[in-house]
Amino acid sequence: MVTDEAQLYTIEGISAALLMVITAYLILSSTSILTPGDTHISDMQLEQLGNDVLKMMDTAEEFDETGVTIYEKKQSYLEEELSKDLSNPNSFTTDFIDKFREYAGDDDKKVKVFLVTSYWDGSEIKTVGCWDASVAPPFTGRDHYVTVTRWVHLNDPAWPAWDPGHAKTVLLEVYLWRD
Amino acid sequence: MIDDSGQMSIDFLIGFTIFIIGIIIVVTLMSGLLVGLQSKTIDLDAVAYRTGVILVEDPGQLNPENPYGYADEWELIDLAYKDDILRLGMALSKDYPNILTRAKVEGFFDSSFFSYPDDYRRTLFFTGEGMYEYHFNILLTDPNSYPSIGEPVPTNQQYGYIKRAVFIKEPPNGAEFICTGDPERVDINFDFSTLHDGDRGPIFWIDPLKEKIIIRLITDAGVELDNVYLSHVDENGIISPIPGQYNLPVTTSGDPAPPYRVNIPDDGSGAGYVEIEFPQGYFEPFSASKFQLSFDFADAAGNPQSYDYDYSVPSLSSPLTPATLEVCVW
Amino acid sequence: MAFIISITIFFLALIANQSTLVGKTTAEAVLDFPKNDIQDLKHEILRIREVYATDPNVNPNDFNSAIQKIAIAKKSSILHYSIDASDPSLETQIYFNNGITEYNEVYY
Repeated sequence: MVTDEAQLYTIEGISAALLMVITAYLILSSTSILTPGDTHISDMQLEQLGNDVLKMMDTAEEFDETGVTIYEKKQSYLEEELSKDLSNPNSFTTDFIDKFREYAGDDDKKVKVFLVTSYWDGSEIKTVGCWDASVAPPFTGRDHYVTVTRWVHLNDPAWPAWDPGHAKTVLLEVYLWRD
Repeated sequence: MIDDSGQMSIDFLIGFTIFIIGIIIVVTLMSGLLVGLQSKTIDLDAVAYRTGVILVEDPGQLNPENPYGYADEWELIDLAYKDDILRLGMALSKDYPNILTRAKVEGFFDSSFFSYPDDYRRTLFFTGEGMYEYHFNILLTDPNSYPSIGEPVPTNQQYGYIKRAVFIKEPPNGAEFICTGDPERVDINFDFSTLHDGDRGPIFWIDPLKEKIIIRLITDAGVELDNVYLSHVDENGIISPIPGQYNLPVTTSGDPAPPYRVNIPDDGSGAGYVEIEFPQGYFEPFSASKFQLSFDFADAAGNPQSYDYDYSVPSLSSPLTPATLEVCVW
Repeated sequence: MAFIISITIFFLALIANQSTLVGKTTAEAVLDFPKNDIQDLKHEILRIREVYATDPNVNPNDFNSAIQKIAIAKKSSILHYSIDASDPSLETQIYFNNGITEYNEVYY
């Protein structure tokens, strides 16, 4: 006894179902999901540690009475090392890595560093070749790294070779990653 | 009158069925959407980070109405006024983050002063009764010691973690003055404005108001110490003993004093010593900046000797000590 | 019936959708605050001030151009400072702007 009465029930049911499915699909496709790349929390720990260690390296450990100028009396490790002649950066590289690990706590041997020093020479920004990559952990750029920076003031640097002794402020950028 | 007119029409049934299938599909799609909103997780890493910043970059804060009139020197106050501490922090001052003072470090980890865990929860995590009770473990790793506060870190649970690298400013080493020659009196002069040397700055200077001062005199064996007293020197050079600051306690190579008079015997090296220690905050109540500490010897043959307590004393200030502070919260 | 259900679902899902974004932007404001950059800059300016304030040969404001150029290129931030050497208290003004946070300080 199939007739064509009460077709509206059917139509109502179909249209209701379609309406709900389309609504649900529209909403779900517009939800944003927080991916791990958006939250910087896991990077923040490494970044904060890196900033702390650089701050320690840029603070003198002791007041040096024998220094002549006020600059020398409170000269920090970074100020002293970057003022030297950097044509052979091998010793600076190994020393920096050791000092970094010492300040960060000895068990963090998994933290690897790479650094770049930039300065302004009057017309463009140049970098100083102060890092010897052969004794340092290889920096491929493919590991997930954080960058921490520190301004260092050099009163009497031994470089560049054509204009030594010119006081300058340089920016030290350190790339940190965990293996 | 029983007939079949009460049954639902087949069209209605088909429509209803399609509707129900549709709603089942929708609910299945949506079921994962609201699940995340029900969880009660606290971002523990953020709590640990915040606690690390308060400990390392903030000198702390006292209630402005505290009886001492201090702003952030919570390590100098007495146990009775512990509740005036609003916030604990170990930094030297707001302008020098990541430099901690040894006095504050010792005060923080002193379990006889702060009652674990309530005081820490109130002043560091800012939770009280009825709020979530944070479990924490704070560990300072210093080349000589490993003080820590809190429960052991759980191995089966997620916890928030931060590690900060800091320097600790140590109090001055003991100052030694050689006072042989049997003097009848030895004067040690303190000038706080010389000690607060502008060139050195707050990180490297000695602050006698907040750090403990140790003075040791090397004397001949057999001298008799009669009195140790403190005087105030005003800007005209007039010396006036401070009332109540006499018969100060000292340790010697013989009996300790008081009671005076004390015989200083040979300590085995051919000389004797007298040592006095002023705990941190001792000079704070006397609002003056020049003092003289005098040691009177009885039956002495020599003239009075005078020394200055300033940076000419060899190896008086110590270098900064590197350390790391780890905070775990769960 | 279906209209009511679908509108209710739509409304609830809209709330759920927006809530994740709200939480993220609030947390981001805390994470993005350049605390380390500002502390570093202040330390550097105070070091320059300490070294050159009494030096007759060097004007402490000379380092402004170097710092500005390096900061724009490497750290995407604008900064400048001025040290008043004629003032006995050496009033120092520091300005920092990294596009999200602007910081001004006068230090005596």
